[in-house]
Amino acid sequence: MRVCPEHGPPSSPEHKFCEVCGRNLVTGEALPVPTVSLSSRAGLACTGCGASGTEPYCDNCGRRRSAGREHAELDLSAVAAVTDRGRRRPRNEDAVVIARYDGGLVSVVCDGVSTSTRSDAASHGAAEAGVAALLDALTTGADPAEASVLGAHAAAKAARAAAVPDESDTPPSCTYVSGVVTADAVTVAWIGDSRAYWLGAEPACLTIDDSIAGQLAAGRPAPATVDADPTSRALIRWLGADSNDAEPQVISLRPEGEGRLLLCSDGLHHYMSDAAELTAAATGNPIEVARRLTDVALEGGGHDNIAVAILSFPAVGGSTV
Amino acid sequence: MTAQFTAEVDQNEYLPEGGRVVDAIVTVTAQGGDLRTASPALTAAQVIMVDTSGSMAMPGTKIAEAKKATAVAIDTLRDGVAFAVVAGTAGAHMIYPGDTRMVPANPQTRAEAKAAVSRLRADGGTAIGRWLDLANYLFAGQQAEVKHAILLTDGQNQHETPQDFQKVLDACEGKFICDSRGVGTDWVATELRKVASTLLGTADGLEDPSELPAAFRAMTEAAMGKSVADVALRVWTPAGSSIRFVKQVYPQVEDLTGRRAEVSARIGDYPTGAWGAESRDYHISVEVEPDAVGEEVLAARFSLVSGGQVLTEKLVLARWTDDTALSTKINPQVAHYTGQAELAEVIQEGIKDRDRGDVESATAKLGRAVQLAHESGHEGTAKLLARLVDVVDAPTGTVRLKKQVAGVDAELTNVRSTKTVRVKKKQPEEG
Repeated sequence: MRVCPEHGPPSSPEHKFCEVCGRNLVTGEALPVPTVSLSSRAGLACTGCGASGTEPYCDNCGRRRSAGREHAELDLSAVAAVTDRGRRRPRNEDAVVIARYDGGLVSVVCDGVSTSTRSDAASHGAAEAGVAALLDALTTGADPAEASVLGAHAAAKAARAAAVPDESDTPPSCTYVSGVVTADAVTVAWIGDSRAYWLGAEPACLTIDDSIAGQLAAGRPAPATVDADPTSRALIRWLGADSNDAEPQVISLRPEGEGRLLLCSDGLHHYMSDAAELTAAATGNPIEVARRLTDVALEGGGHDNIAVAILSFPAVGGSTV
Repeated sequence: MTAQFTAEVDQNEYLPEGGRVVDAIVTVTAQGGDLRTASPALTAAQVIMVDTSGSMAMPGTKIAEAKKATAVAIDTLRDGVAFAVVAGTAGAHMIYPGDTRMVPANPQTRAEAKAAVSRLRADGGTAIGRWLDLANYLFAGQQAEVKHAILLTDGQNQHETPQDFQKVLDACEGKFICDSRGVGTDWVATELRKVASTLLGTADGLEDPSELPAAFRAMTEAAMGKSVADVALRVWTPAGSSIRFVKQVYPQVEDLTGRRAEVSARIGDYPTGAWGAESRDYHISVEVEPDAVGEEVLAARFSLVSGGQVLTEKLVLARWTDDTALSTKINPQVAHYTGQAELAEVIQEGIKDRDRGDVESATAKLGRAVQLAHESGHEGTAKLLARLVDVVDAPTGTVRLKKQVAGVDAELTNVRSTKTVRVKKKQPEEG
């Protein structure tokens, strides 16, 4: 009798594959988990007038095309994300990409820096390039820490490429935080002030903001800048054409029990930054948590763009997907 | 096509909240070296129209220099270029070849043509429209990519009605390019400018008939140097916007706004004729729907196209800001060419007022012209204006009309009123 160990017998005894998961019931072989990723990048419709196209400026109304959607919900079950324009900003310049592969879950959040134009181009380019490089490395045997460094390098290159040659202004730039969750470890890499939190038994913020205030709060020496205001939250590291800095800080942990990895832009942690509070709010499945935390930021005022990604730990290969 | 076209945009893209008007200067340059060596010369045809009205014999140097100039132009034609020489009076007749057609230039046809020109006699009236009509007929039989005419006249267009003249111009528009020159004292600047505008050529007057041969050579050389024909300026503007104007502003002011040919609802083409190794500036002004502060729109996409191929393309942007330091900044190029366009206008109007006897208005307008010419360092125009007015104080534009002015000086000033200069290079700091 051909029976799937997870989903029972097929609807007809003749069937050679499980209708639920596609397992080959003759050989007993499970389908390989396909690598899948989702991005918050906008579709072809112009956010200004709805006309579709791919030019950098809408061919009908002339408005610069937004790289990202005003509101996006990405759901791969064990990993999910929500991003929102917020209530004040004209465009959503935060980007989030989520992915799963045969072995774990991946996400990158990038926050477009608002002092530069077209920072949504940098954030989306960086987030997508980061995830692509991470998946490439992870599926060819790199360990998560190595893969995370390669992901940040690829993201930095993509952010630099978002600049156009004769641009007069500050080139597009963004922050970067990546998360990789496997069966036994959580690995985070970052440049800038987008954060990663461990939401679980011992909740904690895993990242240290690349700002003067962030460095001082972490007990690190103040970086040598001209105007070193100890309360300054201005970025001291970022990705973009005006930065040669592509080395992320990387941290790995092997949590004892179940939990979630949260990646977010300051659009959320401006309103809720306490790891315990965040953990308390993180009930339900990943997409529900991402929605709830986005609402927290919106209800708080939504002064900035919001991006929230939730990755379940431990990642259990194909069976949880 | 291997011609190298490049374009640069000068603008202040920042608008205040609610701001609507976007101005930009686009400088288009066609590179010389690449044009000459990499692209084959275009096929060309040239018709030379020489005024042989009776007045060309008074003084006799006019007809003598006109013959010399025509011979020089014939010698400047490349081998194989189809050409013809037309004598213009109250009618138009073929000088060379004898029948109404064009022949390819070669040593034999050049010699025959020059011999025919040397036998020219000045006798008759002036009806420029008839000359152009014959040229149009001759060109119609030609396949050449560049069709170029030279028109030389010394008198007023007396022997046809302005309506007939206009009808011929309309018929010739887009069929060939025509450079016109006035010689002597009786030609009319507005007529020559009209020919130049409609037929995408240049207009000028010569102070002395002895300048004719050099002028004919220069016009023919420029025509022979054209390497891209039928270039159109293509402008895309967004939904909800309107084009205030599109002007060529260098080397001369030419308002192209009314010459738009619709390509689509968003796109229009404006004719610019043929290009050799040269550089031209355009001023485009667009009114857009205001967007929120911080937003950015494409106010115009500006390209040059020929035969369906885009030669170069540039974007004109608009961004709204609450930073008045940004939005109030005046782009020096835009300001300069706004001034140059006003300069052409006040000269033309000032001369018209002067001819009508409206001394007060003429003084005000020519005074403003002196002031603008002074500010922009337009020395050629400043010198011409000084023949019409006594300049009391150039910076304030204080002038007095001269009592005695040679008629040709007013025509020269008028015909050259549209010639512009580029922004002065910054003077090195004195120290």
